[in-house]
Amino acid sequence: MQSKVYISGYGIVSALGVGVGSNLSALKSSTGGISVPAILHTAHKDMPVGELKIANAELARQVGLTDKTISRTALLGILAAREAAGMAGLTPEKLSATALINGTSVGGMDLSELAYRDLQEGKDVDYKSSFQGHDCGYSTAKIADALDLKGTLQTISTACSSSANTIMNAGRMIRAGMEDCVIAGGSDALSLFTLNGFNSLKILDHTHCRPFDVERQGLNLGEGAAFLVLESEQSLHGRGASAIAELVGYGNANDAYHQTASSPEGKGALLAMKKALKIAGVPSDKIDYINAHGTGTANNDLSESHAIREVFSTEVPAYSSTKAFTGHTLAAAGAIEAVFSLLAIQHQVAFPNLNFTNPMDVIKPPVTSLTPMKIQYVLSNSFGFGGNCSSLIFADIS
Amino acid sequence: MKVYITATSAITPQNTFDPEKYLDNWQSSDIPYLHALEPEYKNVIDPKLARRMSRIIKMSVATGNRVLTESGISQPDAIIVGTGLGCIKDTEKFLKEIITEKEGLLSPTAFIQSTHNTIAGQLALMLQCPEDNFTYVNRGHSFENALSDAILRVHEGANHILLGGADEMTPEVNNILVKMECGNNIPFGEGACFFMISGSGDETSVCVEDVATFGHIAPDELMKKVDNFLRKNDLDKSEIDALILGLDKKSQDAYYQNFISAFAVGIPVAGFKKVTGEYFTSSAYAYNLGVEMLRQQCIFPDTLLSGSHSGSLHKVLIYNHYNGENHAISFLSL
Amino acid sequence: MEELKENLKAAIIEALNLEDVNAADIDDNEPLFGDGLGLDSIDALELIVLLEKNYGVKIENPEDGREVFQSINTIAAYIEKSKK
Repeated sequence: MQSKVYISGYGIVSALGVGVGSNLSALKSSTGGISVPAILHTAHKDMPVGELKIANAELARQVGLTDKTISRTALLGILAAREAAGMAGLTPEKLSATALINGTSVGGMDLSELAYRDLQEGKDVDYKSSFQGHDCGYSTAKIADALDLKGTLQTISTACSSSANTIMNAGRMIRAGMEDCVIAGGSDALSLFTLNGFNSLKILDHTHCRPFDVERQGLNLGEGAAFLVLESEQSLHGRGASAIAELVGYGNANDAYHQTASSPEGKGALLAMKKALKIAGVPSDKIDYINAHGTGTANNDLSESHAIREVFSTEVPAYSSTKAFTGHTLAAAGAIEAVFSLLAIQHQVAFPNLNFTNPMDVIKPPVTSLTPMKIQYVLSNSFGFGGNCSSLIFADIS
Repeated sequence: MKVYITATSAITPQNTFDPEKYLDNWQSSDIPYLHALEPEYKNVIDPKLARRMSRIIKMSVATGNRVLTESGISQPDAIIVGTGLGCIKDTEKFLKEIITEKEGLLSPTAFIQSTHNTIAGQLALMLQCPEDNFTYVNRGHSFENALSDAILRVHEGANHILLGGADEMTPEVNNILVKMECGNNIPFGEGACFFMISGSGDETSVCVEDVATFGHIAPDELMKKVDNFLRKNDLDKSEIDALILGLDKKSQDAYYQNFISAFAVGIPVAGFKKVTGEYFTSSAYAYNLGVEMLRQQCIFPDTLLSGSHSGSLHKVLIYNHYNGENHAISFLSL
Repeated sequence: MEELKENLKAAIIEALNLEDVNAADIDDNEPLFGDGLGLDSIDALELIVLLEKNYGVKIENPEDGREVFQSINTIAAYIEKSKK
């Protein structure tokens, strides 16, 4: 009998604010977090982004670090992971045996791209402090240090599905009995690299993004971090804690179609959802709400819609993309939307898909206002470059 | 949980890709780091597919393809890659363009190829493999994260996993790393090593009996870790026929000195970083070298740092650390 | 016009890293996307950058690229037209 995988805490930082409270109230009041960049110094001054309006120095103060050379990705990650551990009530002793799985796409690029520019312009840089945080594993090590974690460390970088995969891995390791308590999630800060990268692909909407709208023009880039505490039943009982929800299913598949584009029929997305349903042992008609990947690009939303329709046939459940609230937070998106999925379960509401006006012809319209409903099972999708597709299923256990 | 390496292939700064010339004709480097000896890719990768591939992807696809052919597995149950810095050449290229064009008109190819999971993604695309596809990027444990995942998958019931570790070096990245002083006195290098990891094997398959990883420890704490590892595997120190260590020469490095001193005097020590140089996933090559040593029943003379070898090779230990922060011990047997 | 086409072929081969293709191999009317040279959506974006950088010709909407990028002939004609 494989161990069940419970969620006992979560934490989040996004353009909607620091902490679960500010994120929930923004979701409930349909207040999006998209604005023009103020912290990121970019030539694209009018490009809408999902940016947390708190500078690095203040973030460092909030996490109690004086080191000015720590990347924004690591700072956001520490804030979210600490909130998750706090909500779960993990003691220092428990933390020392807890594993950490972190997902990030560009790691400490926010600092290294500036130092690299200085180098190109012939300026002196302090190599160690400027570049030490570039690699993705650095932010994982910093989060582990900040929480005094001494257990297994993993870092995953599968583009925009990274943190969905960290949660999946936490589930796999707990089921296999390899770990009994895992903090899993991801973090990505806005950077010139990613903003200009998506701009060069011409898939940024120059206005607020409109996922699943037939007139959608692209995505808004965002930043943030989120972490979940996942535990075995034994671990929970051992410390007399209670669970918030259960991770019942997860699926990973590769679209194997193109480096960046999704296949028109959403083959990878379809497989990921089917695998997750199979692991969960839940028929598709039991899913009450889908937190879709829904980036707002022509390609993703069409391909995802086809895949959803294929899985759910005529009974497509209530669904929405919350990326119009936060922007696309890349490697953090899977964990941020996992937190939104948990909030949907705890508060029995589906969150609105903002900025939606005109439906596509392949799928029914998404939920466009805060909708109270019975939510037993939530499916959350995350897809990325390289054909990476991942789906998670969370269940209400109250 | 035991798994088997049923096929392996490596591109490194020495001759390792051509099995006939394995570690023959030792190369010296005339640049400040060790540059991989790459094959003529036209013969191994379709030029139509290769046109956007940077060197890290070409090295990975060439070795990955070789492993698939050698193992006779065309559709693995998962593709898992570890890389420390990922597609750093394309990252550098796109960053440079952002700077020179002042965030103006940028060509997108370098950006789309720069993501860490491009390697595993390209392999999936080539094989039309829809199965699980993971990329680990955990510093000196990037490959070990990937290997641990492969082992877990075998435990979960998977039969064959295509596993790899790859990193590429550029003059500029080398310059930055040298100035960061993080090379542990070993020149930086690069390479790609791929493996077919299976739940069962035949008489030529090398068994990965166990892998243990740990974070920052002091050199004197290492001995306790070694003892625990041996005890867990019911191994006596005298049973170990050879050590494969993350060294490129005889070194005063206290970790490696302590490690060697735990075993019999004169135990053969092979230094795998003499072949690869230092990089985040260099330890992937230790497994390729271990497989070749066990299969060919020899210690390649250019890698032998101390001790001498007589008799047969059945059990070898791999130990590596990156900067004192990421340590790993593995036990291979044939 | 012939000089422009030759110049264009060389620039495309370099920008798209078409190592195994010679300028002489590309027929002026050959489709560049799909079955012809086998270019894809990323190449279309690269061609937009190339036209702007090398010839000062702008294509604002990637969708318009489809018409322009049918063949060497259509691209050359578009450049000529835009310059006038």
